[in-house]
Amino acid sequence: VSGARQLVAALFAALSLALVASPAAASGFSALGYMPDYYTAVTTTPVASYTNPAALRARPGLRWFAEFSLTYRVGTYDRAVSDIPEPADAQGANIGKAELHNWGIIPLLSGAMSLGDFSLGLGVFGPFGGDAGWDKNQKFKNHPEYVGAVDSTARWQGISGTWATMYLTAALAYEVPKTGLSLGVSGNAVRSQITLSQAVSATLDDNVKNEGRLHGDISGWSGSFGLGVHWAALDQQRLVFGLSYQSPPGGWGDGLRHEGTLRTNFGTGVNRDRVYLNQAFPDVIQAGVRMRPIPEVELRLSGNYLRNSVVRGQCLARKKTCEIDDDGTVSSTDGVVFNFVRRWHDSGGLRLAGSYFVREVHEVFAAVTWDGTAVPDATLDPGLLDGNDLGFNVGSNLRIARTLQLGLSYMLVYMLPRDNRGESILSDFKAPNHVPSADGQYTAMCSIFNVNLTGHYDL
Amino acid sequence: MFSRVLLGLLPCALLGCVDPAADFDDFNKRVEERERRHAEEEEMHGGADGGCGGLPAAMIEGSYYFTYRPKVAEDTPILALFEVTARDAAATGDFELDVLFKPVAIADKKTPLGEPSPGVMKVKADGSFTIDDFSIFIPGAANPVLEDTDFKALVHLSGTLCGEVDAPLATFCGDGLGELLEPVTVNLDGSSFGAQRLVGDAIPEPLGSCAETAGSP
Repeated sequence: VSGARQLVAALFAALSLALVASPAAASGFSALGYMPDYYTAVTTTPVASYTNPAALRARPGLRWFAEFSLTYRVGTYDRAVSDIPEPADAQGANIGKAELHNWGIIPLLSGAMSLGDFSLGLGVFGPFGGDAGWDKNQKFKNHPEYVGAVDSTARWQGISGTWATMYLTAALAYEVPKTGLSLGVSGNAVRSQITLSQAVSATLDDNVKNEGRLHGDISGWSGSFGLGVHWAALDQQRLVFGLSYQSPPGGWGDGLRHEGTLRTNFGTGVNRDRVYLNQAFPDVIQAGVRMRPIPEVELRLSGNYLRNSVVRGQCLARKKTCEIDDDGTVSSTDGVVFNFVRRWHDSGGLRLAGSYFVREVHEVFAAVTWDGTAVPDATLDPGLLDGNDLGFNVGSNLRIARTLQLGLSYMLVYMLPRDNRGESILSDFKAPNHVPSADGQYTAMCSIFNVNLTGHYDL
Repeated sequence: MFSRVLLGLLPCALLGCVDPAADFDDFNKRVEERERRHAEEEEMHGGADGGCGGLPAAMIEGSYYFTYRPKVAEDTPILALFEVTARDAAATGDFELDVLFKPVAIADKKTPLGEPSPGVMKVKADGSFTIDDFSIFIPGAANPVLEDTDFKALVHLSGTLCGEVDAPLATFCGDGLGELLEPVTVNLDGSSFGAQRLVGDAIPEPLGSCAETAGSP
């Protein structure tokens, strides 16, 4: 190993130790734990534009990469309490089990081109977001008085909601000659769209007699950047390290501020307000290593760390600014409509994967993943179903033509059941921080079917 | 993940994708249906006020204990002192009175808080009255709906004054329309109110609608 490579090795070792020493717990808004096997800092696909721009140097030529994922998620929330006792003729309106069965579809596209010591990447990515829509409570279907209860016992935190943060990314990588070391930088135009519908009462409790609804539709653009290093420590990429950083959309300060419409109905007709959503967003560190002990086998270990502790609350206000205190609450009621206390903590995930190359053109692979939760029991709610996830991933990549490769994979993500009975603090606050209690038991499981196509052309 | 931002052309309807706007609209339809049915039932059982009117301004003016029962939170009425002052005490027929709305503390239900809100009560010969464009302010400490949160609202009150022409009016009541303006916009149509004349220092039980004041002594 040359002197330059030794220097880079020392740098990687130091950074990797720093990462491992940090508490691992990842999710929140992050979807990395649900991503296919190639979403790592040592990827060889054009998704490197997001995961590690320096890894664009992993493959030569011109490449395009089209991926399509079909997801199916099931989950339950068994609400344990009703802050306001259920009326005798509305038993089961607030307490009891809710279920969700949701399909999702995700098509993404990226491309990369390498010329000389440089590579350029472009892509569309969806590293943050998710959705949830709870099944109806048939017991209250067509109920003449309690017209809201049909939307399940989860409705006080979420009837349905989607959060989509899409990155339009351009990346550039440079490989330092004769070192195996590549450096990369990326810029992201980030589009976020948040829509949600949930039950709400004028008194912010879960009184079914005063039940109303809110519907928020909020969106906006922001920017962020990524940095990465990628190092092929041994020739023919037999040992590769990758490390990347993605800054939070909206920057490190107050974070995102997006504008939209809030519609409410407290039983007296639809009201409309122009609102702003203020919240911080985490930055993301990813690291990974892949090695080929023998030509037919590749092993990969990768991880991510999200600084989710910056997410203290989500403030919906009629004015542009909303100061969220460190405890997640908002002190001033001036112009604030609602504040959702979050108090998340830093989180992360790990992935251990292995591939066997049946032939040079046919790879089979398997992976196990761990994705830690960012959401403490105190602020867990069914609107953002989140827990420690264990994942299993199997798949295959096959060259189907001289320039075309087909990839197929299946991933099962199992959320370890959560029970926060007696722990929820959401109803402990006064307005505008108050929402009904989310005490209860939670389960979830998600299947992800992924199909991808890679086009590869020598230049 | 599970983004639908770029998926407009894909078959979400077939797959049953999440649709918060549709969930909200469905709820609105159910509420409309319920309210329509309630209105029909009220029409069947209710009756117009009769035998009212002819009260001189002097019999109306005075201090009242005012209970405003917002439709959106009927179990948590807003309480206030309500001062009615005649511009011309001898006036009969159509005339106007000045009113002052003073919300009281949640803690003792009698100490006025915040800046009083002035309004004009327009009375007609048949006893019907309105207080239009009544801009009221309810400080957080007087707000039982959302404690510690200030409310600003623009309401329109209406009702009919019924009483003896030669005795001080004991109660009046009616319905409220309007809108909460701060902290968030909320339609207040369908709300009700009741007012009871204050006698001495005694604070009466809140009566926030005509149905409630009708049963009062």
